[in-house]
Amino acid sequence: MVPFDLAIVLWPFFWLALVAVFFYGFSLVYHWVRFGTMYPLVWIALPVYVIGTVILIGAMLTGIAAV
Amino acid sequence: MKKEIRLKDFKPDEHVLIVVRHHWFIFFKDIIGIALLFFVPFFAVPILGIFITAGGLQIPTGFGFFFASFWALILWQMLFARWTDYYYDIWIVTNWRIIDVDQKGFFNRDTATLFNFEQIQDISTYVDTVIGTFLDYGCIQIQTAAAKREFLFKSVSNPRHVERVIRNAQEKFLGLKSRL
Repeated sequence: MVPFDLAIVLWPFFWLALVAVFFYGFSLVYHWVRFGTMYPLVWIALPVYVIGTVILIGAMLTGIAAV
Repeated sequence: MKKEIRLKDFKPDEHVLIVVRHHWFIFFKDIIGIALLFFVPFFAVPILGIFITAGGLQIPTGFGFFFASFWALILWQMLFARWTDYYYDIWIVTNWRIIDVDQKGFFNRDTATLFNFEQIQDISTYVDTVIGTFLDYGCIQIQTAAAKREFLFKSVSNPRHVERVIRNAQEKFLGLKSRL
């Protein structure tokens, strides 16, 4: 019997998370470009959001690699 | 230099007097809720682990790490979604009128003139919670002569100051109008 790769279970969750991240990231950049003058804190929020997201996606990949 | 807010339909001599937002404590309450959710796996995973090992199964360590990161990523999105909602909902008080900018989700955005100053009949503020008293936030209620008579803006920072700004702007506006 071919051994079952448990990581296969995790990949759909990973892609789901990635879709959510792209959706929110796009909407944030969209507002930032369009209404940036009205919402100056976006300049600070955007890099904080991106750094946190990259770290957490990296952590998910580490989890998959460790299975 | 701070750039002044200008909307497309501003009149030539119209300028912003104050931008009114909800108090930061409203967002802080959301952060506390999300922080509590963050700790859920720390309790749920060990309990789940007991049942799984009792059933004779073994889960690789990477699974726990993956789902903890997945959970944290979802909460990270929730946090910024809440922030967007909090930060993008504003009232803009100009020397002509009050404009409501309402963010609904990510892409629905409602920008409308609530009323011109000549429509305002009365403004009142009230602080109705203990925390609101300490942190100085409350509601501003504006009564108008328009079809929709009452407007309420909840959990506003420093409501008395906002009320004063609106009253002064209204007096100036009506004074200017009577001279024309």
